[in-house]
Amino acid sequence: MQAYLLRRLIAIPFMLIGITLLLFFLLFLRPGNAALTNFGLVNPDQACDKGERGTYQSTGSGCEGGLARLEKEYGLDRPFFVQYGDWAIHAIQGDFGLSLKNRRSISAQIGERLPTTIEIGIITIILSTLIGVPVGIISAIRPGSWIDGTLRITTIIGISVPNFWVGTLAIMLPALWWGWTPLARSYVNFVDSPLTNLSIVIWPALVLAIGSAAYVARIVRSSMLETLYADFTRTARAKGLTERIVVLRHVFRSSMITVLTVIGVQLGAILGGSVIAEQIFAVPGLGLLIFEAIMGIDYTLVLGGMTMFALMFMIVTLAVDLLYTLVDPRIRY
Amino acid sequence: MSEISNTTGPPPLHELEVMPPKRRLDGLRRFLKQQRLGSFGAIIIIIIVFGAIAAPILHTSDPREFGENILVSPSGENWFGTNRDGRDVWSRVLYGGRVSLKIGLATVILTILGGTLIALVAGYLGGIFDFILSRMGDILIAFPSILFALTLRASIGEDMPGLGSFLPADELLLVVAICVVFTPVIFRIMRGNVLEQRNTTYVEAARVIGAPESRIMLRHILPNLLGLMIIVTSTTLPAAILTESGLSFLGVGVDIGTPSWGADLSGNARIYFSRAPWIAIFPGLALSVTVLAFNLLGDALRDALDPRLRGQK
Amino acid sequence: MSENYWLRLKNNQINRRGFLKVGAAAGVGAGALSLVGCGDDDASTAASSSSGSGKPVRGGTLNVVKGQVDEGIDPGLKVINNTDLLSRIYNHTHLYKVSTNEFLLDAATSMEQPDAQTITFKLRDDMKFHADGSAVTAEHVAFSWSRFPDLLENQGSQVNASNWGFIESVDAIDSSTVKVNLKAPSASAPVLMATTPFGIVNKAQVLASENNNVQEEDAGAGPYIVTRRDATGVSLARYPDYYKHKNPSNHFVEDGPYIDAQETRVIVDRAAIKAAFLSGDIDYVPTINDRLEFEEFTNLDFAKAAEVGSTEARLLAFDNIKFTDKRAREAISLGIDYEGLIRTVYAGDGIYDGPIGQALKEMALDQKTLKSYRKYDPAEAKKKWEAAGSPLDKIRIECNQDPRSTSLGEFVAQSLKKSLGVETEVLVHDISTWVARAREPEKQWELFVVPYGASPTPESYSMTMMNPNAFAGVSWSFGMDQPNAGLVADAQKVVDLVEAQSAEVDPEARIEKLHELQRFILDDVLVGINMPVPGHSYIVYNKRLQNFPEDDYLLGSLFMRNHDMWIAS
Repeated sequence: MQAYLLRRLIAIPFMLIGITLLLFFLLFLRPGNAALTNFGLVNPDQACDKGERGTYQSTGSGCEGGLARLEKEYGLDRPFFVQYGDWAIHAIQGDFGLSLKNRRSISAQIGERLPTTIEIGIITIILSTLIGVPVGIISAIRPGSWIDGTLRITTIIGISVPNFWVGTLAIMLPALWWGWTPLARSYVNFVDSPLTNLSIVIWPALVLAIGSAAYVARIVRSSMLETLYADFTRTARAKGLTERIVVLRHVFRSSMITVLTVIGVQLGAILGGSVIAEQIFAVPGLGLLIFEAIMGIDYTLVLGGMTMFALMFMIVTLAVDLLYTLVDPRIRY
Repeated sequence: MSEISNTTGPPPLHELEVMPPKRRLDGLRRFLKQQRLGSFGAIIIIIIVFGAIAAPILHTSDPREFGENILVSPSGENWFGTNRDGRDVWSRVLYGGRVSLKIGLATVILTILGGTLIALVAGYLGGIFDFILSRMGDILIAFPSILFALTLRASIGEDMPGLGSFLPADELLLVVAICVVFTPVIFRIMRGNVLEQRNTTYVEAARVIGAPESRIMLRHILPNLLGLMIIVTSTTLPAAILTESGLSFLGVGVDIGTPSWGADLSGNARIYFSRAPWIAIFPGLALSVTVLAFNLLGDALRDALDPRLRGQK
Repeated sequence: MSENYWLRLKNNQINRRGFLKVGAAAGVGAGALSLVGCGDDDASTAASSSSGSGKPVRGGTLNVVKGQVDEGIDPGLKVINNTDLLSRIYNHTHLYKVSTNEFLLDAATSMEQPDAQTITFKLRDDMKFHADGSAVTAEHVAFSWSRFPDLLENQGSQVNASNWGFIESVDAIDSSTVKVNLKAPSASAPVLMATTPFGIVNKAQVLASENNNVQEEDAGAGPYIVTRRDATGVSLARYPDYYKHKNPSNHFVEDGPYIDAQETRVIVDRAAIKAAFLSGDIDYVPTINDRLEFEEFTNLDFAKAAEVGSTEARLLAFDNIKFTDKRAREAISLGIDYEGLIRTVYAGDGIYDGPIGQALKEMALDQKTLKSYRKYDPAEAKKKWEAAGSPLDKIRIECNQDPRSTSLGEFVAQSLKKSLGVETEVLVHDISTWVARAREPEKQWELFVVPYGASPTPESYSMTMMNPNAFAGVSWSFGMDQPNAGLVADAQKVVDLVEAQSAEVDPEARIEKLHELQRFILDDVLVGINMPVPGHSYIVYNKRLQNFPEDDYLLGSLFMRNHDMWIAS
């Protein structure tokens, strides 16, 4: 167990290096970036245009002076691995540098927006577990019944509807019917005002939870069905235990493994879905920040944000794997 | 993409290997009888595909052409009404189906084939191949798909060539981006299966006989993956369609003006919702129904091909 | 301010024509200045389109929304998307009220024009900068107005040379006197000097900064200070040491603005902006140009809506290098279905436009003339295109993400595809990239869509788009350094005509010269096509805002001020 834990922990930095290297490479491929476009250039390789006229001339690029200084300032003239190395060394210390677009500290910006996304993620997972697990269990206990049928249809619809459509309808229909909309107008921090904050964040979480809960329900149902007819359950029944105990103690427990797996898998979907949900509900989270950074080719910000996402993903996956040991004593690493 | 996890296991070997041809058609008939929801899904899919292919003759107009009848409610002329650009929503839905299905299909073919082949190599050959490929897969999976597709687009999008008018640059880029994020997942699923099969007796037997690795991989293991491949296809296709729609919704999928279910749900659809809800309702409905149909079919296929759950309904 | 010729004009109803005529009639020769409230007399309230009901009340927070984060708050460097902030943080020697054609003195106690090429300002003595409390002196003004060339050259400033090119030099004669020397008489100079780039900047702060700019700092002396600025928006609060406007001129309040604070929120999504307005979280919706979108806001009992004539311009510019043969440009012009554009994209409410927008009234050409230049004749277009040798197989149209831009781009793409049979592609980029793609020397597009707002002088926006010494040179490859001799000759002529009208102070003569310039551009040069624009612009605002300057808001974002706006409780 210790060895496993150690191995997993050591793997994380290597994974991060791999991830950030890949990102850096992808973004490096592109000739332009936000600092340059801010300056009025797309491709620094193009000859700078300097006319001979006097002050009426709008030189645009103002090259020799401006561009060179700009490149030096951001270190854009250094070779790839030097730039990467420099970035990485700072990143380890938590300094992701400055945004190319508006020169604000990236760590600060991420720090502002990360809690929101985490909050949405946590609430989504809680909701989807609270809704999905009972639904799955009910469905599995009475397979083939009309309850099962209804729930199965509901859950399959739940995983089929696109979250951005549901989100759009969730904003528009209440406005149409009741003159009210769950759109976030002005965002407040949880620390500042917990209730208002929750009332804002609950909506994107709900929308994401619909798909997530449906998925959880389906997985719980199918894994429970497997175990309900498995050998060890038959043994328990043969021992004379009541159906209820059989279900709760044995079957449920082994289903939790599946649920944990699901959480791990769902995390990717939830983080990705947060981009859409944050945009639709106008909630300032990390997903939206990264999205805007990508659109504005602010690649230092993209790097910082995506690294955070990947890191979160790996940490949660590791936590889930560790939780397995609690739930299933058979699993030992 | 959340559906894809190997929780239900591979179909047992004997099912697929020794069934004589005549009984396969029986299998189809049995499928239609037992899996009613799945068959229903299959019919919906056929209708949608037909609608997409036959779009020009189904009371449609040019989905890109700006029109004068703006924000008209559904009527005899415009079955789904018109949007802010004066475009017939019915036409946008039908032609949008073309785009979504095309991209989804292209993605799925590439991903399933690619992912399976890579899994074969990694799983069977093991060792350093497996290690490197698995780690690469792990790295790619750590990204949320939409963000990674976005990054790819920002990175190489400008220089992407197109494949003629059949698959213009923006759509090709979508296919590439979605493939890159999906393949690692397929790889993981298939690899698990390949690993299981590697240790079976018949594979060992083949090795003992002296069959070359490639032959074992292609002639023995691959066919046994077919069942799983079919199941995975039925879940990957809707996932691909949803991802493409999501990207188009965000404005970074298909080019502007191209009919796409996702793109039609963004922007104007929401601004004018209070007086023209049909703009947002129909494309979303089309998308949901399509994905639902594929999921129903996928469920049914999984039930049919995995006997463990059969008889438990 | 004693006996002065200008005082006698104060209470006249002065329209634009009269305003310029007075100067000529008085024989002073230079750009006439209509000064209001020079100090001794009480303020007369010129009619504002929405005067407040009831007595002004102090306090409250103005809630503003923006579609994108600002790119920095240095007024000499950035003008896009930050005027709501700059107009509050910085103060100016004077401001210009578009709707009534008045100049309003702010930091200056007087503005005089002793001769045709000199303007002098006298400053108040009680103004302080936010950051360090130091006094605002003539030295700061001179510094602020002299840094433009350097910013343009070395920092890619968005402030175009046309905005300040008339300045020869700016001197601080003493601590409260500023003397501006013009290169040539300029009728637009006083108006241009009232725009946001001319805000007074703290010299010490600029010199002490790392990058020689104050992009991230509050270096102003205006009525509000920045208390918070991040990716979700900006908070402004009243500056406690803001100077009193003793005997305030029109539209300035003695004790400073009524409103205490301002919150600017960044909401990217247009639908979300609408929701925010409906729930009262923001006080007005940024300019709406689409009648159908505007209709979404009518019938709201808490909102007021105003409509003005068109304040938009949309230019479809050529990469002139790729269209050297004039017939090619003519072919493009003939190949676009303008009436169709108006019927579909503008939902029937559209007007024709020329190099000078209709908001400038007589300076612009009339609708009939403009329409005659925008004919749609696909057959003729095809003929001309082929006569020019069918120069391009594919036409790429570059747009930004604004739907105004993309709808136009798409429509043009389809039109051209039909009439000329060429392949078309619409490229969409975010604003910064879009701007950069305009300026890069090797263009990756053939046509470029630029939406821009109304300009109060021909120099702002309008002429900068056509002037080889401004945007046209850098962005549309219409400059004096092009290999094509014919193009160069045309460019030179445009420059000459622009300079001629700029120096012309007689209003009638100036209008004549402007018409000549426009006809030359439309007939001979055609550096770009001024597309039809929506017929009206609209603003919707919450009724709690009293004395909201409707016309000024729509026509003069460069001159925003809200001293005399208040919030009813």
